Order: sequence, then structure tokens, then C-alpha cells
Amino acid sequence: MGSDRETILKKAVMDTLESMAFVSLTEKTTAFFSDEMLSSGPQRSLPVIKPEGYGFVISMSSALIRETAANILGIGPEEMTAENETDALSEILNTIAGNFMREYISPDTTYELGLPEAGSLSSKERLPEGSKIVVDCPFESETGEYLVVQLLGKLN
Amino acid sequence: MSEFETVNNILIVDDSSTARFIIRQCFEIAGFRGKNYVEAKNGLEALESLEKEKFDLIVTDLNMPGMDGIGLLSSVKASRHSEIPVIVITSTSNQAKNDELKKLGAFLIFNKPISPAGIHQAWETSKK
Amino acid sequence: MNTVIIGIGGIAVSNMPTDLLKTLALGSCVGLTFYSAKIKVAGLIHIALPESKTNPELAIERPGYYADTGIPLILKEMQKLGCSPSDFVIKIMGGANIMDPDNRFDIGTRNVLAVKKLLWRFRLGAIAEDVGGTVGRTVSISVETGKVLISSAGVGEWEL
Repeated sequence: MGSDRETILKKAVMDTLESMAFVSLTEKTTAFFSDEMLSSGPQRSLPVIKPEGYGFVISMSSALIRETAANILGIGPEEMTAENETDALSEILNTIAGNFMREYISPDTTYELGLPEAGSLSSKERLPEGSKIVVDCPFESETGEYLVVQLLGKLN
Repeated sequence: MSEFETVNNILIVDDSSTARFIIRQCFEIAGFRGKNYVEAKNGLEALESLEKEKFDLIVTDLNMPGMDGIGLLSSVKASRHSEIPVIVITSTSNQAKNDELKKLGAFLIFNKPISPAGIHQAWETSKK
Repeated sequence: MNTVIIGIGGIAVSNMPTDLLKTLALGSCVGLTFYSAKIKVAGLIHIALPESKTNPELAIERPGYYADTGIPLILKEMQKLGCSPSDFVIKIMGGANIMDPDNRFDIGTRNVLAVKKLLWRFRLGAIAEDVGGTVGRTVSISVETGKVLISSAGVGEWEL
């Protein structure tokens, strides 16, 4: 089950970045990143309302979110604004989360996502009670920048 | 008249400016170029726009603060605007959700991320 | 019927009703067809790689070889024959992932992404696609009808 979640999440991330932003990613191992590294760059989090107890966090280097958002909007990176970047990161996370949930849960059951929020759910104060980070999906772009998506799930 | 020529005024509803941009550009490429596009950030803004001008098509997200897409779809289908087709573009679509949306009167439903090819093919098929 | 064949890096545009534009053996390369039904003008390009900075001299000699030089050029050639972007439809094919000895370069996928990114930047995109897989494709487009046919050895022929 654990590897299913990881496989589904990896595919959701790669498909979303390719389809939305024409960005190709290479999978990396967890040795590739640290919490300090992720906290130093842009992050967005998204809780799952139904079923309860899940959430997603996305962390991207500033350079990668600028490139990604610029690709989506069809403009040069130098034309990007902080607002564009934040909104793009939220929408990317929303799309990844939706793609994951669609593949992971039964098609007979609906699911509801919350709204993307600033910052990370992975600090201890903000983790939903009884949950933990269950999947880490680190990636590297062709330009050597990082993107990490984490799934929070229920403690077994 | 082609299937695309019957639509001139399109209302796009999504709280994300990125999503609204993607939707508009995908629709333009798919065959809806040169149309009048109006954008709204949620269901309430969309209803206000519907009172101000005539639309031939509504394209809406589901997950929005204030009035969400389900609220908007239900309101539109219960109003004098009920004949306007409503396309739903969402990250929460699956078989169960699609069944619910169809019962509420959604015309077409797409998963995010959308593509011009997906929009084009679904629209052409729907009009046959 | 007059068949106009282009090779790797080739570009063809035509408003002659008897012309059939064709390119063979799209492997990891990407083919794009452009068609204006209003004025019956067709275009075809066979793109090998995303960026011309890797070989600027080749880009001058064969601009269609690279997405970043070929796409702007074919758009210009289509416009010379009276097309505006709002009039034509684009279809994309190719980008197969043909294994290389080291299996390190995903050229087909990278080509497709590069082409889509550039089209998107021009506020354009494909309304139909036949990309990926592991086999080569031969593509043709009829100027008279705009019909795009794809064929692949051992698979057959189909319309996109």
C-alpha cells in the first residue's frame, strides 16, 4: 500500500508539471533534500477535507517556481510577480492533490479538497492530530532545481 | 454554423488567476477564439456577472471560497439562466462526483489539468 | 496529387489543392501540421530538437530542425499565404521514446514538451495529438481537405 501511494503521487506530480507547465522532472531520493532546504523556499500546503486525515505539501526552489509559472502564463521569468508565483504554486498543488486522490481512492466515493494555504503542514504544531508525513516525493528539474511533494496521512 | 460559432460570451469562474488563464487559453485554442470572456473569482461574483450581461457558456471550478461550484451550478439551473450550459473543470472529479454533477445539470466535466485537445474533442462530440 | 516530402528539419507550406505534404520516419522528432480550412493552406514541419543554441549554424541552414527557430518560421510562412493564427488548427505527432544505448535521454518527451511550450507562448496549441510510444510515424496532410494521416510500420494507417 505504501509503495502504491508513492507510485501514484510520483505520477501525479510528473504528469501535472508536464501537462500544465511543460516541465520535465527526474525522481530523486530522500537524501536529496532536508527540511531546512524546503523551508527556505516557497511552500504551499493543502488539507484534504474528505476523507479526513490527509494533506499535501509542495516545496519548490524559487527559481523553479518562477520558471514554471512563467511557462504556464507564457511570459518571461523576468515578468513574473510574487502573486503570480504564489497562485501558480497553489494551483499546481491543487491539481497534483486531485490527481492523486482520483487514483488512490475508490471511484465510487467522492473526495473534497481544502483550499491551498501558505507555509507547510509539516511543522509539528500544524500536523493534524494522529497524522504524519507518509510519502516524500523529491524531484529535480532539468535546470537542477528541486521540487518536493509530501503526503500526510493517518498514523496506523 | 460551426459548433463554436454559437458561443460568443463565456463566463470563467475560478478562484485561481492561474487556472482562469489556463482555461481561457485552452478554450481559445480549442476553437473559441475572438469570444468575449468575463472572469469571476467565485460563485457569488459569477451570479453578479450573470445579472449584468448575457452568457452563452459558463465554465466553473468547484472548490472556491464563498459560493463554490456546486452552489453556482445549482443556482444557475434553478434560475432564468438554466439554459446556459455549465462546464465544470475541477481537481475533484471522479466517477462518483461526475454522477453527482450530471444530476445537477453539468454539461461537460473535465479533470484538471485540461488541454485544448480535450476541450475541442469533447465539445465537438457533444454537439453531434 | 503532388506529394511534397520534407526531411528532418524541413518545412513546407502550400496553397496548391493538389499538394500532399508528407514527412517520413518521425521517431523522437516531432511533426506539426497547420491547416486553415477557410483559405485551404497547409503547413508541415519536422522538428528534431528543442533549442538552436546547441548548433546555431545548423539552425540557419535548416531552421526547422529546432523548435525555437522552426515554429516562428512556419508561422511566418503560413501568414505569407494569408493565414492568421485564429484561422488555423494545429496537430502534433511524434516524440516517440526510441531507446538510446544509455537510456538517459528522453528526447521524444523533451521534444514534445518543448514544442508545446513554444506553441503555448504564442497562444497556440494542438487540438489533436498522437505522441509518445516507441514506434516511428509517417505523416501527411492534404491541402485540399486538411486531412492528416499517420502511418506506422506494422501498425497501419489512421486519421488524426
